[in-house]
Amino acid sequence: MLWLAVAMGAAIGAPSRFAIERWFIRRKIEGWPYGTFAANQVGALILGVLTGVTVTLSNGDSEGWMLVTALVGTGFCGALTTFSGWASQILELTRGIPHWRGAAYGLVSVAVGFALAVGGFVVGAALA
Amino acid sequence: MTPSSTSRWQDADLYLVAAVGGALGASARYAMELLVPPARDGWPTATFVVNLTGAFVLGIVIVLVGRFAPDPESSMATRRVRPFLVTGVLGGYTTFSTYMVEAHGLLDTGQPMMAAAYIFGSLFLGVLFVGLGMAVANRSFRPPLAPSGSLSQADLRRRVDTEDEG
Repeated sequence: MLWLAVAMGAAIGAPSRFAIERWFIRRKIEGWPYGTFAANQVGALILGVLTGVTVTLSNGDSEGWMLVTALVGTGFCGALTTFSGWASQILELTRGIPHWRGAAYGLVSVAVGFALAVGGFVVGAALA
Repeated sequence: MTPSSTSRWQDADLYLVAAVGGALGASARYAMELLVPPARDGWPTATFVVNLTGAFVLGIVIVLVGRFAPDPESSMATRRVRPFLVTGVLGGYTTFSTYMVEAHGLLDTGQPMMAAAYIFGSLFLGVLFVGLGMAVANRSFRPPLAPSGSLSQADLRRRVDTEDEG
């Protein structure tokens, strides 16, 4: 049952990232993987909020809520965001000119992503 | 069919294969999370292993797609390879959001050094593993070099084709 929720969430998350990536490519906004960047950051924020709510909620370990976290967290956010594609983009940017763009993309991604995960967690904990 | 409906629906197959691939990849990640418990010190072993193996496999896939399906528009099948494997399966298998939230969890439980090690270790090793995957695939799937004086595979194929025609 939880597995099905994970698969369903991912079946929405992965094509959503695909749509976001194509949106930027169609508008010729290139040179920096904005689409993957945006998908990763939005996912980090949503999962941060969800985690904040889950640890604060008195019934955060109930069966019903576990279904929600499987669907929205493990499934949707997990598939909306990508580590493998992100790492390959860092490598690709590093091989290009100027080389520092790879490091910049990687470090900005983790700095913003970490801030959004923490901020989301605080907001989620306050909401619950 | 009107042009606008064509442009709206012509890529529906790509979204569908990304969805199926994403569901498969995420299921594999979920299985890993169930099978691999976090280390006693809190290190998120499952996500760490998932992300690095996914990066390694993506390196292999990038080389293979470049070699065997370089032109995405050459057929319906090659068109769907990237959205299915790269965006779907590997994108769904690996995760950035869990990586960030777990790093915050380590900080929250009073392990800032481990949080930093997790963030920068995953980043550095992830990029390294994509490169390793590409290097392994480049070595393993090198096109056979024709010894001088002998016929290459392409020459042989051309000869067979001409014989058929003749």
